[in-house]
Amino acid sequence: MSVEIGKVLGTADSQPLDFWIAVPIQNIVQLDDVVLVRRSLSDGVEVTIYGIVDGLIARHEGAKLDSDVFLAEQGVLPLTHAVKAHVTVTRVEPEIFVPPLPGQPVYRAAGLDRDQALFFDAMQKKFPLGLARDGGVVHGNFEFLDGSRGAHINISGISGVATKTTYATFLLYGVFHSELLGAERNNTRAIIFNVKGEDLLFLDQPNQSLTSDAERMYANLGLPTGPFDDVSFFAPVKRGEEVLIPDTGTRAEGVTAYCWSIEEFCKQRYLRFLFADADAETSHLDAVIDRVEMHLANEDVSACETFLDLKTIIENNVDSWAPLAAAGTRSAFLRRLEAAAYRVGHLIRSKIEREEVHRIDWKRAQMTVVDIHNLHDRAKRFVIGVVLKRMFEEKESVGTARPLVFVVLDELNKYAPRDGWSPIKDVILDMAERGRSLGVILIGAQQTASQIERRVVGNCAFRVVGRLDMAEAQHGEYGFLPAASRVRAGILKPGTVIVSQPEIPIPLMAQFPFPAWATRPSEVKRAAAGNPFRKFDK
Amino acid sequence: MDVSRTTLRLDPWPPEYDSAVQFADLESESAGTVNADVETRDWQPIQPDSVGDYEEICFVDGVRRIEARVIADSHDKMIHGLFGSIGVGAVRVRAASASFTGITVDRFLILGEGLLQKEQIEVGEHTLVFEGLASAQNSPIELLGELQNLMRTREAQLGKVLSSQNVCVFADGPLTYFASTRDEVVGIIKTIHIPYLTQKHFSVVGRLLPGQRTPLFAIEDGKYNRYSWFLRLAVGRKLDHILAGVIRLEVRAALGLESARRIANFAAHELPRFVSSPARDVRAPQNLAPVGNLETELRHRLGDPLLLRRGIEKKLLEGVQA
Repeated sequence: MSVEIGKVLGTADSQPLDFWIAVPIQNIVQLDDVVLVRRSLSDGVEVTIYGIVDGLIARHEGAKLDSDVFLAEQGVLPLTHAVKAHVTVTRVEPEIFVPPLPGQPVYRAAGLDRDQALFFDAMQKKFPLGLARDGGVVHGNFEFLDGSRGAHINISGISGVATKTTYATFLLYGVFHSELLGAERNNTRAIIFNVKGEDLLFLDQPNQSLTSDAERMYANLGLPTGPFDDVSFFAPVKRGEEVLIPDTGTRAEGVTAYCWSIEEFCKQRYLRFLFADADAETSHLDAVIDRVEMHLANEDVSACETFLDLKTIIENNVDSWAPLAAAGTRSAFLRRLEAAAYRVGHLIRSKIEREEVHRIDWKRAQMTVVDIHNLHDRAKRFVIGVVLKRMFEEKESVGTARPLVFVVLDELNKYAPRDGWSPIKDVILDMAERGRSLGVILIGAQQTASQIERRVVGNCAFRVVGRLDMAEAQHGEYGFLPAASRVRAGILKPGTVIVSQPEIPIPLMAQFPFPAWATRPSEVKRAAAGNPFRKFDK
Repeated sequence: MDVSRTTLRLDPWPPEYDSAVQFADLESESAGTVNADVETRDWQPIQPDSVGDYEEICFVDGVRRIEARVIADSHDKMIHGLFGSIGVGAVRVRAASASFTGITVDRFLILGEGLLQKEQIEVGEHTLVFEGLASAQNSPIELLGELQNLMRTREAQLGKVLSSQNVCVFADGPLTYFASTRDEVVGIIKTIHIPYLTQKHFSVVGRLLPGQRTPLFAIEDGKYNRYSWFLRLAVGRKLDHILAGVIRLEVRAALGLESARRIANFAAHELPRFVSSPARDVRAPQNLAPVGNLETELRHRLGDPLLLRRGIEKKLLEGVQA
């Protein structure tokens, strides 16, 4: 039931798209409250104006001087409190843009009214973005995520407040546990790159630190409480070990060590991803890389025991494979190859037993976690580049958008920086621009959207900000945030985000629950209730 | 040529308050017999230390405004009239909170020569009723006096309602309009035109320090017998005249000397904390801060003068065209 919270005030201009409400002191009105006001026109049409409270002001009325407050507190000066709230209009039904009249009652929208105010009523398919302050669900229009009308999510926020990756996984959790995907649910996939710590290596374990408050939030969101139930984990093979064991600290069981064979490396032309630093002067280098890749694809490399052997073959032949390149370019190529061999060499091996097991197979489980946090920057780029390229090519060859593949990638500023070019940026840009039609949905995250290639952010239907650096919040990339939201972005608590989506003209604040899955070993529920043999089932 | 010049001192109230003030206060300031010996023969400033026993203080005040002056079309005679509004209310101070109370607004159409007519004026979606009041007088200043009387009468009514054993009511101006003689209502006279006292006694007023009062003196005119005293609220600037910051207070004689003394001590103790500052109110310090804010609030409640005037003009035009 929508209840009256105040009246349109007449001391400030009331306009079709924004107006002020006078709020009686006993009514609690806060930022983000969804409100509505109805105006009957003289021709009999009733216009309903919906909006969101995005500013609140309290003042002493009757005070002339700043020090009057002391006199009021001493009981000398009679002053009254006045509270007013600013409303930004989100929707007008029917679309007759008239200002609400001063004195008209303003109601806090609830139930159907709230859905109307936020366009939730018109969403055919919706997925949960979180909870509003009033406890209601904030929905996202899935049509703007699944590619039918738009795709991709971009998340900005300073690091260390556990917002970006956590929110990305929460969104996936919501999508996977909803009815949106229907029959495709089992075939829909997600690839998550674990770039920092080992937080994501426990996605399949229930979180024993989960509070009852968080459980209530999941219930309000209409979601079950539990871990992801179909996850495969991949970690890089340990350097210097003959046996292929995953290079992880906190979890070894259930984690597959990944590497690539020298043969695949050559045939599939992965060489370019060894040179994936964004570089301004790469055009000459690219020509060399292209030539070398071409020759390697046809070269017999079965004799190579290690990547160093392959490197030697390249070193010996580069002059003849790329004769047109300047000597300086060739030596630049070799210098970089040398550096890459040291950083990435251990991931490219010969004679891998059961090669298919150690290949990152993103189709094996619903969620694929690819751990790269222990790798050197150059190796990270290589892994991301190779995995994404392969996945993208597979999707391309299938030719249908469904089932969807979600890709979660943090530190996007490294892989798709605003300046320079790199093969990974190429892949990510491709994904941002063509992914919508291919069913590849990018959930990218970074600390600062201002450092990301504009087209990558520009193609994202959903823009999310967690806590932002105050200076960063002033950049044009956050133009979708009204001034008040920008300020708030500087003080957002962990677990709170501001989400902008198409259709809704104002970004909404949403709170999401603490992960129901463990994010560190100490949170893992030992001897979890339920099926103790669950992990052996696969 | 050696001419000794008289030192002049400033009356800090802006001159525009003159007319209103005199009009308001002169009405009862015709001194009757003054007896300065009712409390003590030893005329010295008194510094009371009693805290008093009232739980609540109320300040009653009113404002009035002429919305429009009119002249009635009545045969060969010129009949003056005016549309006037009055607002009356009080500030209730209890512990550390001050709030407005009992605010009412009334509107009148006052016509001279006993002419009685009521008008309904449309302002926006509201209809304002100007009650008719027939005055026997017929000069513009006398009609204003009628409006003043109405305001004073309402102030007195409100003061009577608010006054009780635990509540000390301070009214604006002399107590002429208070019909009952037993209410514990104190009149505050902010501007002093008549000294009442002999030169000898009055010199004590100049020596008062803030929070000090003179001894009580009785004013007996046979009609409104009362006890009165001077109280210094604050010290004025050096160039201000000696009475800047001094008010005269009075209570009805019927309360008895003991009650009058108790109230006088209470007022001397309490009122200085309500003193306003020149930055807040040009009539500071005599016009106390709660009263200043009450006047602002009351004027605000009278409504926008321009809107009212337009409403009246529209109504008058309809009458002319009919």
